[in-house]
Amino acid sequence: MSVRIHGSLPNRFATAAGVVAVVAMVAPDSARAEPRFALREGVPCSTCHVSPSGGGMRNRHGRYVYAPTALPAGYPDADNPLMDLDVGDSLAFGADIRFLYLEQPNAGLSDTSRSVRTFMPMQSDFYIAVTPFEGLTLYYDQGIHGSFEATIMYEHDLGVPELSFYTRAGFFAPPYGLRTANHNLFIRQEIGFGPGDNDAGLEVGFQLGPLLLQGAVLTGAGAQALIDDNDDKAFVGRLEGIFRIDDFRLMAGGSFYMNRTGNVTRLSASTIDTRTDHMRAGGHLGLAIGRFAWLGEADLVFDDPTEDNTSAETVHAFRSYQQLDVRIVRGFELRLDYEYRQQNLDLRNGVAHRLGGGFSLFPLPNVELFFLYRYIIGDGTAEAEQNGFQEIIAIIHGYL
Amino acid sequence: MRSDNERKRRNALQFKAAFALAVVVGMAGGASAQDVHRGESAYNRFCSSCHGVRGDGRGPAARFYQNPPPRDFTLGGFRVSQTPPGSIASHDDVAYVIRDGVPGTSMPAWRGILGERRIDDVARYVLSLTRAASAVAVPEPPIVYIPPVAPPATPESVRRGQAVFLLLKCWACHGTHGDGDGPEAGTQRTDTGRPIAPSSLTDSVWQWGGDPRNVYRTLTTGLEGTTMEAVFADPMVMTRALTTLRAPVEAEVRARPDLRPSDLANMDAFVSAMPSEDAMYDMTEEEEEALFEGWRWDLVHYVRSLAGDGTLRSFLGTAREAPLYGP
Repeated sequence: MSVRIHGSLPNRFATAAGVVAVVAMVAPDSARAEPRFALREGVPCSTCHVSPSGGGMRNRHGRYVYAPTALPAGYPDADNPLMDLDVGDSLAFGADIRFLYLEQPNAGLSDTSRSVRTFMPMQSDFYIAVTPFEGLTLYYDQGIHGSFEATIMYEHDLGVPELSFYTRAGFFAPPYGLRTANHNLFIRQEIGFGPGDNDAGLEVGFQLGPLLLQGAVLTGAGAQALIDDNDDKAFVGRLEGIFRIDDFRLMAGGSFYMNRTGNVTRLSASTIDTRTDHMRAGGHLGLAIGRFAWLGEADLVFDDPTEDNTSAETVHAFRSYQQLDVRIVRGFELRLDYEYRQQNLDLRNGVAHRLGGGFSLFPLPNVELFFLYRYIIGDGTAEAEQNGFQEIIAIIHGYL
Repeated sequence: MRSDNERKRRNALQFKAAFALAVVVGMAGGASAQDVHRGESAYNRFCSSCHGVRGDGRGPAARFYQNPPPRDFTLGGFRVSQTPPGSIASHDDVAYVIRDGVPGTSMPAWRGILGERRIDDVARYVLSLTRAASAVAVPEPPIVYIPPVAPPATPESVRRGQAVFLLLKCWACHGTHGDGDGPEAGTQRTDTGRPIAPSSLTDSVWQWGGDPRNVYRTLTTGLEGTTMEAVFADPMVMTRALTTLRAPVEAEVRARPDLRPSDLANMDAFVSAMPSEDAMYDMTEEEEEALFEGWRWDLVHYVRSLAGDGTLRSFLGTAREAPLYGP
C-alpha cells in the first residue's frame, strides 16, 4: 500500500482518515456477480450460482460448464484443465479472491496535491455448500472483511413443467435489481444494497419458465445490527424475466423494497422518534446479441422521516446505471459504464454523472484481470461535490 | 412419504444396476475399467449438470436450457451420426459433438478445453449409457462412407443443386429459398414429441457442421430423432424421386408463389439435361452411382451457398467462442 500524504499534521490525519474511508468504500464484503453472463446465456443467475439471486459460489454448471467454455482465452494444461472442487455429490467448495490497485489522483478535491495509490486485498470469500439430499443446500460464505452469507435453502420441482420454487432462511443479500460485481455503483452501495447490506430473513422464489419471482421478509436491521431493534420488518420483491428470441437475449425486471428503521423512545419528559420510512423501486433491462451485451438499471430512492422525527433528512433521489460490454475476442471484453445520480428530486439538484471505461481479460482459467477508469462530472452542489473525481481501478481476480 | 422413499430407493438401485451394466458394456467395447471410470468422472463434472447423472437429460440446469433441451442419452437418437438411420451413433460421432458442440444451442464446444483423450473417455461413457438403457444388446453399427475430399463447388453445380433441392421437396420444410419457412414448418415434432423448427439454411449457423463433408453426412444419414430424413440413404428412392415421381412435385414447385424466374430456369435446365428413363435404365450400376453421387454433391454445394458469407454473424459474434489456445 502506498499513500502519499502532503501537508500539515491535521491535514495528514484527515487524509489518512479519508484513505480508511476509501478503503472501506472499495472493499466489498460479499461476492458479487456478473449479470451480463446470465444475459448472454439467456438463463437465470441460478443456472450457474448456488444463490437464486446470483453472485457468490458457483454451482457445478457454473464451475465446470459455463466458466470453462465461455470465459478464459485458452487452456495451458491438457491433462487436468479443471480441478475438481467437489467432494462426492454433497460437498463443494469455492472461492473468490480479488486484489485491488486503486489510484485516486485527486482523492481530496479541496487539496489536489493529495492522492491515493494503494494495493489491497479487496475480497477474499470462501464458500462451502453442503447438499445432504437433493433439494436441500446449506450454504456458507465467509468474507475477509467480516461479512458473510449463510443460508439454508430448499428447492423443489413442483411437478408442473418448468415450475419450481425455493425457500431460504438465513443471512443473505436481499433480492433487488442487478447483482453486479461492481459493488460501489450509485445503484448499489448508495441505495442500500451494497455488500455491507446483507440482512437476515426468509425468502421465497418461484421460477416459471423464464420468469423468476422472489420475495423476502427481512429484519431490516442489515449487517450493521444483527439484532433487530424494532418491530418493523423490511419487505423486498423482485420479478425478472430472461428471454431468448432467436439470437437475441432480453432481460427485464423490476424490484421493490420497503422498510422502516428507527424507534420511538419514550422518556419521562419527552419522546424521541428516530423512525424513517425507506422505499426503493427500480427496474432493470438488458439486451444481448453475440458479443454485445447492454445492461441498465434505474432506481427511485425515498427516505421519509416520520412526522415526529426531526433529526433525519428527507431524501428523494434517483440513480441509474448502464453498462455496455463488447467481447473483442474470447477472453477479452471492453466495458463502458455510465452512471447517473440525482440526489434531490424535489430541488432537481445533486446531479452527478460517472463515466467509466475499461476491460476484462481472462488470460487463464480461473483468473480475471479487470481495469476501469472512472471520472465524475457533478453539478457542484453539496451532494455532488465530487466533480472531477477520477479513479483508476485494476483488479486481479481469482475464482473457483 | 414411504412410497416416495421406496421409489427413491428403487431408482437408486436401478441406477446402480444401469451403471454396472454400463461398465460391463463399456469394457466389452474394448475400454478398460480405468477408461470407463475416467469417462464417468469427466461426464459427471462437465456434462451431468445438463444431461443428468443418469444421462436422461434431466440435470439441474436442463430446465433453463429447453430450446432445444439437453439430449436424453438413454433414448439414443443422436442427431449427428455416420451410421445408418435407426442405429446407434458411432464413437466418432459422439466425440465430434463433444469436440465441436452444437452451434445455436447450449451445447458448448469442448475443443481446446478437454484434451482428446478426455473427449474420447466421455464419448465412450455417453455411448455406454445409451447401451445400458437399451433392453436388448445394441450391435456395433456400420459406418457410412463419406468421401474424404469434396469436389469443388462451381456455379453450375450450385444451380443443379437448387433444382435437386426443389425437386426433392426440401422446400416443404426449409422454404423455397432456405429460410426455414416452408409450408410444413411448424408442424413437426421430434421423437420425444417436442416441436421442432426446420433449420434456416441462410443464417450461417451450422448446428451439425458446415463443411461440405458434414452437410454430405447430414443428407446421407439424416438427423436421427427429427423429421430431417436421410435423403440420400437409398439411391433408388432418390433416383425415383427425380425421375418417375418427379412430375407432381414439379407442378407443386411451379405453383410456389415465391419462386423466382431464375429458380424456375435452373429447374428446367436440370430436368432437360437429365437422362431419360430409358437411358437411366441402360446405365451400369457404376454410372448410376456416379450420377447419383454428383447430384448429392450438387445439393451440398447449393445448401452451403445459401448461407452467404456470414459477415454480419462474424461481426455480431456468438455467446461462446472457441478458446484461442489449448489442448
